[in-house]
Amino acid sequence: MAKTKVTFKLGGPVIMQALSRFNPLDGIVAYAAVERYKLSRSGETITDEDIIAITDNLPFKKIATSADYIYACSIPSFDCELPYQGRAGRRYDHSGSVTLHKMISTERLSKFGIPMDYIIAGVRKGYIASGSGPYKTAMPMLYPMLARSVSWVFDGDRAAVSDLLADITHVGKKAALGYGRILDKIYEDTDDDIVRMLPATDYVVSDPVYLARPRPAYWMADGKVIMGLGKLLS
Amino acid sequence: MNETNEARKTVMVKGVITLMSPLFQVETSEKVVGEDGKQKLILRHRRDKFIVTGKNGELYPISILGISSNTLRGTFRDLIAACITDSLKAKADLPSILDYKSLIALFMGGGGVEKSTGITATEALNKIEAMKARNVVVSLFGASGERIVAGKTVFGVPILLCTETVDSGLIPEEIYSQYKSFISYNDVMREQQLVRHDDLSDINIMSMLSEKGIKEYLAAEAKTAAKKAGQDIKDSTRQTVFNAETVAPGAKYYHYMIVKNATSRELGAILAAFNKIAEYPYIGGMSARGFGEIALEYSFIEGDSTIGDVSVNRNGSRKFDYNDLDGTVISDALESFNSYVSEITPEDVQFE
Repeated sequence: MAKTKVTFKLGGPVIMQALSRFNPLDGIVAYAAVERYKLSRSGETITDEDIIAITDNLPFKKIATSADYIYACSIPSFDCELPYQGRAGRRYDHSGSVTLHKMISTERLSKFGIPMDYIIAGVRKGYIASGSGPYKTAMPMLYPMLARSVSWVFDGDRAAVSDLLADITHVGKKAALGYGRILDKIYEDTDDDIVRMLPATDYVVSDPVYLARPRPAYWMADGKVIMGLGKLLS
Repeated sequence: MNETNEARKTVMVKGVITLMSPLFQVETSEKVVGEDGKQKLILRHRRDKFIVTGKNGELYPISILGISSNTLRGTFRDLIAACITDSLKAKADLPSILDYKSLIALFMGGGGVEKSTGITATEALNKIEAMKARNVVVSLFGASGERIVAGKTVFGVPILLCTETVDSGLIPEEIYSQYKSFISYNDVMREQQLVRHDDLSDINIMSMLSEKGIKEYLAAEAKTAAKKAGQDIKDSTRQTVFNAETVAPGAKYYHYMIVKNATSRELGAILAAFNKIAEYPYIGGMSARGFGEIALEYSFIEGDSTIGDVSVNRNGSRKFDYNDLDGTVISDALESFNSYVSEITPEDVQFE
């Protein structure tokens, strides 16, 4: 297997904040592979073991470490990255954030003929606590950024990766609202280093150092070890 | 009412949103000093930012007054959910058959993740898939309960058809090819003054108050005047003058939705939302004053072929029209959704 650089040309704001910027490409490919599997088994029972088998067999070179294996994939690298705040001196351009509105609104529900007394009773009797907890009325603030493209380097089966990534239309957070729109995908040979989060027990690493999973799914809480940023030596 | 064995395809629904009246989607407010030296309040319209290419190939960011994709997604979700609740209401008293949590899941999708009841990941995954097979709103738009339930629909960020976005390749050619020239993104903003009139300053309206009402009004006026006297404000009128940024009517936005692995029923739900929005085609604020009227022209594309197109409120007609361009995919989808809605039961939309 040879190293490949995959570049997504972006068409608009993208939201990739904090530690999510250190998640390697195999996280996205694992998502695409699992979604395909779920579709192929529609209507059937799917188990944890089925999903683990999918994420254990992604088309990347596997590298054994003392903690767990890792895939030979880099973290994202952005080209022409700009903060969302825009140019200084433009009075209207000072906002570096977008605010979403997530709220249980009696006015909104009553527009669709839901009885007002039902809505009020639902809120007041505490069936749904909208003052706190999961149904809390909220206006979350997100911090998008602008970039012309984002790229990753990986060592693996380019055709298979390209096939799975064909299902991916957006990257980053709030993709369902159109953030992180991908205009085009470009695959090319590369000699660039694979820079990613590596287990601190096996590699010389630098900041950021934090507890993370060596392999997907990166959002899961178990199996975390101390990881830091470093170059993967081939 | 499970749906598991239908053929599935990813459908791109893309087209143009035309503003038929000024759009007013406020994001923030700002106090600025006007030309007369006085401070004034301006309500700022929301903006989306893009990197565009200049004449000499240089890259720079621009802020374009835009339509919120969150608003569009919320509108489509509400309209599809309303089809379901309308059907349930026709069968029985809604509060007696639909619990409040399921109602919230239909219209809002919930808020965050609830405390787990301790079910395994396998059980949760299969529960979610079963719920999606029964509930078309959850399947299309997702929800959150004990776990996050991902929806399969992407609502793109609407992009203004203007010189900068067209030249930068942000809009597909088939969307703009019919136009010979474009405006600049700077041309669509209008700052206008709006007035909230103090109706109680009208003697005819004032005279309608009861004796008790007049006493209350005068007491409130005296209190307000005393409070403002310290600030050297003599006028205690309720009249409000404010300035707001709006987007000029006629502005066109490219917009797309992607429905991943859509079933006929799910496509039908999207079509039903287009149909419903024609009855009241408004988005954003001050719709009661006629702001935010929109007209929609979209095509449904599967792979490389266009399977149908729809139009909503063309020339202000308040009508929904569609064309089947590949057999009867569009009319079959509408039929599938209508049949689903007519037979729906509270159990189908029960959110667990």
